[in-house]
Amino acid sequence: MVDEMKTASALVRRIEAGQAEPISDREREQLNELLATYSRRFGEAEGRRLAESLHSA
Amino acid sequence: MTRKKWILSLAAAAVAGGLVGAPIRNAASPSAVDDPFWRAFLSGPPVAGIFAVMAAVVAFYPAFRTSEVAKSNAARDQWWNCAQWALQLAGSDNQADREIAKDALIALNTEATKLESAMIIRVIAKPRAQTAWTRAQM
Repeated sequence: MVDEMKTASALVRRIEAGQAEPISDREREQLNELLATYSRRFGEAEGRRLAESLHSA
Repeated sequence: MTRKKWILSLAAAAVAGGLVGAPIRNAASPSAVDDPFWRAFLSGPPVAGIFAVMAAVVAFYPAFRTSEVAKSNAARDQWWNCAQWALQLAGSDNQADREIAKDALIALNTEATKLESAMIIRVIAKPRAQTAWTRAQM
């Protein structure tokens, strides 16, 4: 888990340095799809809470 | 089910069986077992066969439950292995690889627990990543 988070941070650094390809629209859609599935399975309120925590963190 | 609950369930079933069976037995003719056919039936192979089937069912259930639990654990292990692979690939430099990883995570997310699902979303959309996503949109 920690390793995965390090990987994600490293990706951001590599994107900023131009070493990795930027995030695509498709990837943004995929994140929204994941959030929509989360809301559908665990309730709208839980989905909103998770989305807000992502924005406020 | 714990051992104590299992024993209590068996005791409750025995008591319930007695409560239901006693009135039925008393309502029937006292000489019912004296009938040659029923005597042969109750003391012969037919009832022995019925008890053998009941014993087989009692023996089968724990084995079936054990097998189901093992199958469920194996499925969870497989899920976690796939999730690890996809989360690792989601950090790839290559856009196509990341899209494949996220498609896999979308599929895996349908079987994830609440905690696992939130973890997947947080790993993908962590704040620093969001900054990069916002910049990429500009």
